[in-house]
Amino acid sequence: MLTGFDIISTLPFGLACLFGIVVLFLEVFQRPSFSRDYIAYVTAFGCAVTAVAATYVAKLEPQAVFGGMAALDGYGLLLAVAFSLGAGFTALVSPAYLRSHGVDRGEYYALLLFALAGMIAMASAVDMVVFFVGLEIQSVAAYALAAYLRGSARSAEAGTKYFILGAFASALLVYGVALLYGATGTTNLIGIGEALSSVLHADPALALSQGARDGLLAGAAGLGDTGPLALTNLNRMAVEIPMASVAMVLVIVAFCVKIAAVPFHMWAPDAYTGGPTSAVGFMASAIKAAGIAALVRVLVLAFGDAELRMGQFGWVQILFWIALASMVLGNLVALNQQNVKRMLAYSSVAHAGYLLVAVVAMGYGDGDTSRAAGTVFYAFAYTIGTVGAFGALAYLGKRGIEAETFDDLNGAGFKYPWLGAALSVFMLSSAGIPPTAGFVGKFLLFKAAIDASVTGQAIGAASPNLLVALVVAGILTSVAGVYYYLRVIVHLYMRKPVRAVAALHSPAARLAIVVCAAATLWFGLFPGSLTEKAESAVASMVRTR
Amino acid sequence: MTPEAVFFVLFALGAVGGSAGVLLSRQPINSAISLVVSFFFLAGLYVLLSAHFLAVLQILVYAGAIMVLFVFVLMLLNLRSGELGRGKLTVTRLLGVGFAGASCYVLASSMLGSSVAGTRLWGGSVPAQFGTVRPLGLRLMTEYVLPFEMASVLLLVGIVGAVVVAKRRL
Amino acid sequence: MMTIPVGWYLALSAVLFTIGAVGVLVRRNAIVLFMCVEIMLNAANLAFVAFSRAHNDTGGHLFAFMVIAVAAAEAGIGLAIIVNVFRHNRGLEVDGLNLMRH
Repeated sequence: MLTGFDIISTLPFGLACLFGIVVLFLEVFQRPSFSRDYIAYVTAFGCAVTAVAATYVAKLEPQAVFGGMAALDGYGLLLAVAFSLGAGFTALVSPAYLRSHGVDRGEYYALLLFALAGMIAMASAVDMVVFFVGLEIQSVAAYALAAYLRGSARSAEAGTKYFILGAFASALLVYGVALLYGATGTTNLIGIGEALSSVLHADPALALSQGARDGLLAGAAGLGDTGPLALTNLNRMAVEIPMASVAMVLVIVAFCVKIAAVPFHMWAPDAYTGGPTSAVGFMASAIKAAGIAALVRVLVLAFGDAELRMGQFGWVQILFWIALASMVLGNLVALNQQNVKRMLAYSSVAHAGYLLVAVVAMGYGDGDTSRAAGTVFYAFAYTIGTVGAFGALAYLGKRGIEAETFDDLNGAGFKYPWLGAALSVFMLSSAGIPPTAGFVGKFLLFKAAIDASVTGQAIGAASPNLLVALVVAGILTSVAGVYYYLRVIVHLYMRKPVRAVAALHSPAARLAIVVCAAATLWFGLFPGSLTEKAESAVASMVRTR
Repeated sequence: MTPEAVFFVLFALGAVGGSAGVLLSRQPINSAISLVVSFFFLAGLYVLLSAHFLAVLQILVYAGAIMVLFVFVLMLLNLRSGELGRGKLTVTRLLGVGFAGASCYVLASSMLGSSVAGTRLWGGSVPAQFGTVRPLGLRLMTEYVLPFEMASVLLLVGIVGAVVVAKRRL
Repeated sequence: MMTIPVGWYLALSAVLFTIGAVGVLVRRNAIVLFMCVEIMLNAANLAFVAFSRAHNDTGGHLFAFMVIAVAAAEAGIGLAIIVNVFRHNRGLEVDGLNLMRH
């Protein structure tokens, strides 16, 4: 039976979908000659309503809803607020850009809202079914957004690459979930976690000598009633360690494709360069944040207590190498780019690495999730900053004279003072220079890692030195990153224009970009309230069914 | 060989043959037809596993709707030989194949080592109505109602996205 | 009359998954690539159904049901994207897609 809490918990998801459908209807009854700007305002309003709804729902007692399918907790809902803000600002910066490209259609905003709905579902999912369907809602909408510029061959190419790798990742994920289901008899993350830890903790010797095929232990009791047809034969519920380890690797690889972490980032630069600039900011930030949010929940609930290994590699080690490679490669390749969008695309790969630092830190400490608070803060800071940065780039150029290379930005800082200042703030924030939100975010991520290396007990034999190495690498690569972020500011203010940049005209977009910049500064100067919210949100994560 | 084993071998060979056909055909249309064949044999395997409802869905939705869409698009594009996209075999690609082979070994050995793999089927242990419409429908409308409703949103997004991307004139 | 162990189905599923993965790595035609992804999804579905039977729990059937729904939505958007890229490039060779590599 559905309870009232079940219904209420779907409010943010449902509102995003509802506004998506409303926007589709507005498009149907649209007069051809009439401006479509109001559709963007309706979308932004919808995102605001979703954010407010999420804030209010988050005040309820944290609990599992829909029989353990999803969670009503501050963690998912605070992230839902971040995604809603990202989608809302994206909607506001879009209309002028779309009009100049001749693709000003209501469906764009509907896709934006549906992608938002999918992300909200991902952040609150506790069962792999809900997570998978949410992920696909978000992905399908994002494929369409990447290929949205119909007249552009580059956009078509961006959509194709994004789609093929995304679909491949989904297949890996489904296979991983299938193996987990085979190993534990459930797709519920909490159920998986209970089943795995009950076996691994029952016999520590087994957990250490894992390659051994005799690692079959029967009797993961307490899986609960798995439905009307469940047999009471618990021998069937044998937990299979090697199978679960393979499943874990498949799931992690699928996540890394979706968040564009090295070495699964190949699609990202093309998808972000070719897609419509106004939407790319949302794709590069909120989608990544949603992936990390879900990854945190999967690792905490399903793999948190279990020491699963593929050879020598548990999830802590796997993610350590992925985080390190993402930070190093993302920053180094970004150094060498001439196209600003492509530079930001590679820098988003690096940001995936920074986010993973805190995830790795989570592996140290007995189920202590407070280390993930940094990822929540970073999700806010990075979403707002990136949406703003791409919004500003979209704003600085009409069709045919888009601001693409660094030289295109020359002198724009004086010609458009507000825009130049905002773009500078976003770049400083991405570089992690105080007093911006990006600095606080990076500080929290690295602090979590250092704290964990001092006090934490690693899952498995991972050495605390790994974390120190990761933080050192993170700081060094951030310093390298400062070079290419500041290069944008240098071009904005210190170079003679090569050709005249012409910004679009849209007060709403200008307002949205300036508000994003102000928020970036605000959270940089006064991070306290958001940090507290992030900490309590992570603490409220639902751990029981 | 029991009848079940005979059918399993038959369907398995069909499914693997069909999938290999997708990989080896030069013409995409042949790949599509091989895939349909593979899906039919998979539906047979589902029946052997008492997944009657899924077997029907496999044929109705997968072979019937999704693959028809593939064939339709192939016909629409009317690929000529220059457009088939036959890649050359490169070193990285060979490495990829080797890696895939290794992962197949890991995958299969991990699954076959599990105690689930030793479970023997075809006994009397199947509950009545297992895998038929009624129990699945009941669970879909109670426990799984959230993902079920979300799937409707997903299909809507798919439709909207397809129209936006591919329709010639909006 | 207990004859076939679930392992046979799982082995078949692993073989199909590998065929699909090899296809994604080897074939360069976008539509055939997508078909190979479908093979991988079907391999996963077979694993779900086999595990479902082994656990005597219909949860795996329901996940497979969702996978079919997802495959339908992906087919819609994916084929639209492929038609769109064909219009621009007059070909489906994914190696030929390199407008943005400078």
